[in-house]
Amino acid sequence: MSCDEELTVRVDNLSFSYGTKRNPCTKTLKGITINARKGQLIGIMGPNGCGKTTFMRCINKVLKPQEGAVYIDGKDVDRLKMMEVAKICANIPADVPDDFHLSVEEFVALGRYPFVTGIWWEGEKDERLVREAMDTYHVTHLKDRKLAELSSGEKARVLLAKGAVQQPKILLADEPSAHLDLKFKLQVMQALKDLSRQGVTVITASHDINLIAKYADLVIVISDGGILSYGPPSEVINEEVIRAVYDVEVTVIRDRGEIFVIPMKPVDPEKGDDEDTRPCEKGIVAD
Amino acid sequence: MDKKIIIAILLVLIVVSAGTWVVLFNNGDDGDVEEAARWVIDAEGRNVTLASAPVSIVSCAPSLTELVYSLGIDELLVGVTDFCDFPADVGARKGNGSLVSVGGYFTPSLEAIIETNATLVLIDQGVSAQMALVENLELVNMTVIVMYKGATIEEVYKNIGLLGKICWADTAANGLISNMRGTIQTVTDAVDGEEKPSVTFCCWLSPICVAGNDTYVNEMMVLTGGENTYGDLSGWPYDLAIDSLMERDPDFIIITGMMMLSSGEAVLQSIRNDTLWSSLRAVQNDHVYVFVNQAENVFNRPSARMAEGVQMMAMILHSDVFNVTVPNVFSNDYADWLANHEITDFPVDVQDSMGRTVEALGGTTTLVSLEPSITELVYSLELDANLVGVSSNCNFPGNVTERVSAGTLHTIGKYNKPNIESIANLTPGLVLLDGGVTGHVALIDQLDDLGIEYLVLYPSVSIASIYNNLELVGDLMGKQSAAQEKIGTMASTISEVTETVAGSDGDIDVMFSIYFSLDGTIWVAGNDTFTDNTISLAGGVNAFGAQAGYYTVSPDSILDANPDVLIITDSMAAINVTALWNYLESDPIWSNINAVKNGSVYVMTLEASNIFNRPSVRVADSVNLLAVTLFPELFGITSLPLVFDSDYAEYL
Amino acid sequence: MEDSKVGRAKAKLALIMGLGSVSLVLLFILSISSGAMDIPFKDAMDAVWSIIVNGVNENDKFELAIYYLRIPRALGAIAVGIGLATAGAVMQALIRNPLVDPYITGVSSGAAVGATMATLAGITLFGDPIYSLPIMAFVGAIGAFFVTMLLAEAAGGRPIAYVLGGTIIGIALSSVTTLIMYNNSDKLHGVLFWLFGSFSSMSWTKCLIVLAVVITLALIMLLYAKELNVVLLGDEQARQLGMNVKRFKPIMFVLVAALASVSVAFTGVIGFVGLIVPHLARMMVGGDHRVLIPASIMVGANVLLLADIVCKTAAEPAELPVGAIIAVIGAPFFGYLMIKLGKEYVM
Repeated sequence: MSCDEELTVRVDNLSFSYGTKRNPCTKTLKGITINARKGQLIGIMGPNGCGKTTFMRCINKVLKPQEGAVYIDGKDVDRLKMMEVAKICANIPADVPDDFHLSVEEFVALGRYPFVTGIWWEGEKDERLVREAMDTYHVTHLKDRKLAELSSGEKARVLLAKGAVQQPKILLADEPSAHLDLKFKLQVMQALKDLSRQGVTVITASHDINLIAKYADLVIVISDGGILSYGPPSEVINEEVIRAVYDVEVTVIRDRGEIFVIPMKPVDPEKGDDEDTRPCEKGIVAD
Repeated sequence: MDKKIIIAILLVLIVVSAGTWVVLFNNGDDGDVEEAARWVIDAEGRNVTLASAPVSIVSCAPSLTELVYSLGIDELLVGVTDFCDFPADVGARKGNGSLVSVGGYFTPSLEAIIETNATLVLIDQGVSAQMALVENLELVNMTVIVMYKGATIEEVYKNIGLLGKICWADTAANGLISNMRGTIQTVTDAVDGEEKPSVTFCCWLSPICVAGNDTYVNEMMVLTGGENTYGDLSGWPYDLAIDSLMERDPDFIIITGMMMLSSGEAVLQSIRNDTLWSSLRAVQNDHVYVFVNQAENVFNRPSARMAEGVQMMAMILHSDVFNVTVPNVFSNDYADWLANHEITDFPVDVQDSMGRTVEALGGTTTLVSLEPSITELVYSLELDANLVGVSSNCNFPGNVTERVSAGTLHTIGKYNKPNIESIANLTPGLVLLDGGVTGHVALIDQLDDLGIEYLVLYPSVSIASIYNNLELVGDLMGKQSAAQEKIGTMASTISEVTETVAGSDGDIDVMFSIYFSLDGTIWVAGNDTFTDNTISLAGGVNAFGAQAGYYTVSPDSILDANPDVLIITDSMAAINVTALWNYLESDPIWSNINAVKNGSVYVMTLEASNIFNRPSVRVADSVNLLAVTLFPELFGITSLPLVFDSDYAEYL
Repeated sequence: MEDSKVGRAKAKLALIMGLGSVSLVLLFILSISSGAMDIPFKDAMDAVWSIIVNGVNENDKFELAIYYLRIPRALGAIAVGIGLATAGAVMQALIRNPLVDPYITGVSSGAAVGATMATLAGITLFGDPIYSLPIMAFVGAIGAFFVTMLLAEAAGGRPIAYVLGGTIIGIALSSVTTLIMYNNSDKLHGVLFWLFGSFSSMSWTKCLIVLAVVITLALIMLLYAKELNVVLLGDEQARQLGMNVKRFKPIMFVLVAALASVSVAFTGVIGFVGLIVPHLARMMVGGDHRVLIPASIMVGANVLLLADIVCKTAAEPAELPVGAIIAVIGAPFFGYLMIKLGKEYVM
């Protein structure tokens, strides 16, 4: 593929399950291996509960995998402290916390937390970055407003600003456009694309196949805890893969270098339903 | 984040070490009684140091020997003079050889002293022969302490203090000084304002030697309200003739027979027979007193017995004030006489219920009482004139309410939540608090800070604790006789009652309810209360004595207990008695209880209630009243009312 | 020059600290010149000056009262005000809801058990009459919190687990208190006054202990004011910003419990302060903890000192119980806040 230096994210044979030793259960992720480079926008696809969120949590040390290792920016995540991870890797959630009552400017400024050196106050550089981020995402006029008062689109942009202000090398975005209307969906994805052009490795999970098809450089399809398919959209997004992953018949149209996926009808699943593919919380004894 | 953790830890360390330093610093000040070596400055200004308590002591003066015994360290004595003769144990020990002689008073033997190898040698500053030994004793490395001559009573106190400190006997020394001061102060107070008779003190009769001013005998005369006939002369003029006496003609003559060979009676007789002597006023009025043998030492020896001397001189000069007839001759038996006539009413140091030592007060010390039973106690000890502050619910005796409205008595807050500033405002000499009340004990901290003295009385768990409190306050304030009298009255009332009911078969179950509400909430007194005490003394049995303290009871337990007598206390007279009786008679459970069937239900209201529920001196009355309700026939009472109020006394 | 967020925050901080200090000084002077002993104002000021210059004159009852009674009392009220207000502000951040108070983890019920055991059941430590009660109240308070924490962490460690656990433990301990009181009701009045809260038994030693602990803990919490802002994002987001939430929150809970416990131990249960004061502060300076906590400290000190002055003087010479007075005024105010702000906050 390419030399290791450019690999910002390297996942090596990762396995993870939510069970404990006493209550083992199905592995949510089995043997995932991924290499991602600087400036790539990676889309993760897969049915509900296949482990997309789990995977992203393993990358920034929220969860610890039972097997395998994750390397970000060349360093083993397991050996890094959480603050150091935060300096490299930022995370954009799907939505803002609903009980956050500080101002938008404070919210964005929190993104600088891993970097602030003073005991209390942010430094000048931090403040400047906050101002620039708010500017970039056109939320400066909202800076004194409360988060709860904003519209969905404004909230999405604020989240982006907070992520960007962290100046991360890796950006994780879990379904960032899930509840936005079309215009904002595209806005968000474009913003992510712009970030990746600037050298950030963006990893985003999404259900919207078309968006991923349009914006991603690399697509990873996760099914049954393992990687079903892995590669650029033109290779990965086709009828067979989608049927295997989503149990849905689609028509894939390639036109003018773009890929369009049109859903047709759901189909009965080919494999048996005896395996529970949902991540277990209480521990189901299996396998 | 690491920087912050460091700062946080530093902060905690600083505060903890500052706190520890403050605590140690403050505690360091509180006298280390366990200090290794002790030193004093003796009468000669010499620094006397001992590394630890002495193991053996030599005394070179009879008065010093007496002091050693007074401090209770006599087992350390190894050597005394030939003249040391008091107390009797000295003679006994000389006899069995456990005490050696170190020579005479004016002629001490250096070698004899050295041979004893004593840790400490007591030297009398007033004897030059003894002072001459000091240097030599020091040469052989013996520790010598020069004691004051004892020319004044203060010097005696100083000696006691010195001896106490250098012998590690501080507590005994302080107690002794306080006792002596107390006795003497009481005497002085008693004769204060009385007319001063003139008195002559003769230490020899041929020629006549008298005590002038500048002697401790003169000091005694001043203290006992007498005027020294020879106060114009100083020291001990020893060359007087009878005409001087005839000229000055004193009211009283006290003679000590130093080394006199004849008996005291003989001396007295010869004086009465002598023409010239019998012309003296003192002889004619039979105001001549002769002290021989050990009796004279109360005047001659600068020891603890000076307090006895003061008492006896006072009783001689003012026999009317002390209401005694004083014999004219005293010999070794003087101690017995004194024991029977001793002035007992003088304030002493006491230990309160928390084990604190409170120094003697008495006199005009202003008092603050924090609860009604304490106020009653103060009145019963005749200390009400000293009272300046009471809790707001004090109402007995009636004088209290009068004084409060007149403004001569101040209220200082509720009895369970007294206001410390109100108390401080009165600058009282003593605050009396109840050790069983949390609100009182909580004040201790602040009283200490403000420097206000307080006495923690015993919590009232039994009638005996009431007696203890009477004695405690009586001792502290010098009202021992009043206390004993009160205790006696209470005890005799109670024993009269117990005797009267002794014959009965003691099977009467008494239910004592301190709170009785018609809605069913009923509180009774269990064991471990002084009410329980009252019940058994009155000849009854506590129907609810199985449990301790005051507690609520349910209808089934009442049915189970089936008391024969029901006593309800209702201090505010709030219960509607008619409604009560109707309820008791009609209620299915109560109407089957013996007490209701027999009509033995009694409601104690107002003061009748207070005598039961207040741990005051009137508890004896409550025993009496209770017994009357239980056994009216034994007390000759034919009918009892349902309700008792403040006029309960007619039934006693 | 562009308007700086930090600059504005610092300005707000300076303003609240300045005004708060001035008001505190005035209230302090008012406090030491009022009380059951009638000391005219001028005499009180002279006495203070004399104490500063010459030390306390043990024979002057004014100086004694002011030095040994009034000053420690005022300092104690300030200390408890700071303690409860800071504990409240931090607790509201940790639970992510501004409608909780620092006793919510069972601290007040635990303290009550300790206090009733000391007074009613007569359990004392080495027979010491003065410090047995505060020490046992403190132990009870912290003990109750630890049981709550064990329960809450076992149930997942989420904020609502702490609230529920605290409520359960609180109810359980309240019933223990009731049982003790029931069995010893003849001595009830002894502990009742403690339960209502009062500063009347403050002495130098006690107020210095409380001050030392409160200031240390409040300063530590102040050090972590930035972290408290981050915690508002929720556990997961906070973790992703690099904060070790698993370690930070329990430690903070413990510190809050300690702060609340020491405030309760010496003076009894004084409610609502921990709830209302951070709100007042928030209304004045906003929710950024770097300004909110110092503001809470200032407001808390002022409010409690004022309340104590009222309790001392309103019914002279009887004392009103400060906990009850604050509750009487606080309950309707809290109701108003709940209506105004309750809709904005979701558990």
